[in-house]
Amino acid sequence: MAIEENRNSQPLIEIQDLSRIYGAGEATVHALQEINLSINAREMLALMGPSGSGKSTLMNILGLFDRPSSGSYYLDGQDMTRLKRRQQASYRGRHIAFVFQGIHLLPRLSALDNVELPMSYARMPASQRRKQALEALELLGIVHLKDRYPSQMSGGQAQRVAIARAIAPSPLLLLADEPTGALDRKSGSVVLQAFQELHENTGVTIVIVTHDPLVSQHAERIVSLEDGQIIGDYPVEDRIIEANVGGRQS
Amino acid sequence: MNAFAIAWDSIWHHRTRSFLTALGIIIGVFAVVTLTSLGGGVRTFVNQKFVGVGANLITVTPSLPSAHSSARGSKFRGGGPFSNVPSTLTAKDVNALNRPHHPVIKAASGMITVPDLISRPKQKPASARVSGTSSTFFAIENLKAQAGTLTGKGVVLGEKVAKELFGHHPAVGQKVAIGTKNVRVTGVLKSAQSGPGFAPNTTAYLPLQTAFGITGQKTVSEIVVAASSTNSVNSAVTLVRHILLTRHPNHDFKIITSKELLSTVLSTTRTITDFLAGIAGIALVVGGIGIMNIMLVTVSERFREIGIRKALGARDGDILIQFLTESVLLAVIGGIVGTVLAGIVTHVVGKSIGIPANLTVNSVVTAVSFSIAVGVVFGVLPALRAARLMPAEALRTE
Repeated sequence: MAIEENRNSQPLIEIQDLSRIYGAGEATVHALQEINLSINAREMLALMGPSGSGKSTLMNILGLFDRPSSGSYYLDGQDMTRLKRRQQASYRGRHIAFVFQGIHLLPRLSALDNVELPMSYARMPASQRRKQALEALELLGIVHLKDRYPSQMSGGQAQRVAIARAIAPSPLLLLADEPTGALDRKSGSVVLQAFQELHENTGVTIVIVTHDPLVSQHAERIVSLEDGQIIGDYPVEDRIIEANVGGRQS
Repeated sequence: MNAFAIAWDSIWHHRTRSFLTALGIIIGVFAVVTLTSLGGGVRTFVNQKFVGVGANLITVTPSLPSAHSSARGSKFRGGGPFSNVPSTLTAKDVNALNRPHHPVIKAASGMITVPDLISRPKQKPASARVSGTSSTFFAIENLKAQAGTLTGKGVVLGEKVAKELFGHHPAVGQKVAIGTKNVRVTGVLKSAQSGPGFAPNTTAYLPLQTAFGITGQKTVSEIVVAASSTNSVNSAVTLVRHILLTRHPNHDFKIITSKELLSTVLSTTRTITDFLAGIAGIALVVGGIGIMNIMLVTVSERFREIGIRKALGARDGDILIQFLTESVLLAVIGGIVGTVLAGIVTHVVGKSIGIPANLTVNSVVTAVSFSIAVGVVFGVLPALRAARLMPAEALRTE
């Protein structure tokens, strides 16, 4: 399998001795303590842990929303801690995509406009933007929703539009923060199916942050955090594969 | 979607709020533009009046004696028509100026204010001023008779004075009382435009000698000299000064040309207009603060949206431009509406008080650039706030 081959190549994400400390003196909070983690390209990983374990902090750092207090973070061979704010924004726009817990579509834009937005911030030409947006909507099987506004969609549909928006610019890394948190079970499994299909078909590296063990069982590898430290890192043995994944498209 | 479309969308989405916010700017711009336009109208009006009345006029007024230059500190040394400097100018000075010296002086006339009321004998006085003048005065001011003569020994009535005293009956030949003295009316003037310090329609003119008799004075309060043309005013001034200096070596007089008077009046109106516009400008600043306030509200309402946009790769600059566009658009809409309103009001007011007041290109450009500036200045703080927001914290605000 392609993933097996890539295990030995250079990792996409390389984190060493990474710490994040908030506050000072008595009120100091060690959100992350000297974490070491490497994630390969084409991996689908779940970041697990209870609230307060540091998983959101780690995701903010991975997404270039936050900077580590110490330690290093390499993404695709580049030192992310050295980027300036502006460079961070532009790197994020081009290479990192997000799916959030809430339905984070802009309510006043149509599905297609929402999907085009990150590419427009990345200064991509309009025609190419349109083409990639339609491709992404097609990949998630929701082209028919392209002219609808978020208020005219179900939760699952909206979250799939959000995923389409995330993958349309062909990012290196897709970060999903509790992507099923706001959804009912059925919509949730539709969304997880979408992630698995995407992973299968495009090979994008996916990191899902969740506290739900059922959700993490959809990934290939689980990293568990507690009190700012990694307490477990293992491959998923009985991986749940949502119906149709791998069979519908090849 | 570009910044302009987003801004318009947001403004339209909150129509009522946007209107109320823009109202501050509307009022501010309206006040500034209306005042400057009306002020401009007044200046145009004054200018036209002066040209009509005669830019070729030179006024000699009494002044405190000065041994040397008349220019040095002359503005503050008193003199002029508004001061109480005792006059030493006499009818002989007038005669001296009227002697044929040089063609640049057309004519000169003494002027004296008679502090008495005019009435038909034993009746209510008319609302008129009484002046003593030489008969040359009428030629100097281009005044014509509609009845009688202007060179008689009696009083010449302004058109409105005659109407007030005698209605439609002929005034010439009738007697009027000036103070305690009865004088015969020998002429009535045609209606004429008034100018600064000069209202022929509501004035009764006595011959200088009669006026001296009534007031008991021996001096004139000013001498009006007409230059032969507008272009010869300067040489006429030199000549007048030369003639008078030989008679008044202590230089106890002051010479003002109509042009100088005009520029004084114009600069005074300009100062008043600017001052009022400055006060009106405060309304504009208050309007700007209103914009800032609403933009701050908008930014905090849209933390989530900002967070999403940043997570999707929006740079600080993108967000800054988005919110600045919104505040500038609000201010410019306010500016345009205010300017249009000002245009209408200026036109109506100008028509009703009879001055040629209209929007000037200048005031429109000023108003619009001012409102853009207000939008930028008062939009920067909220926009910077939005731009500096960390996406992580923006998204946490649910």
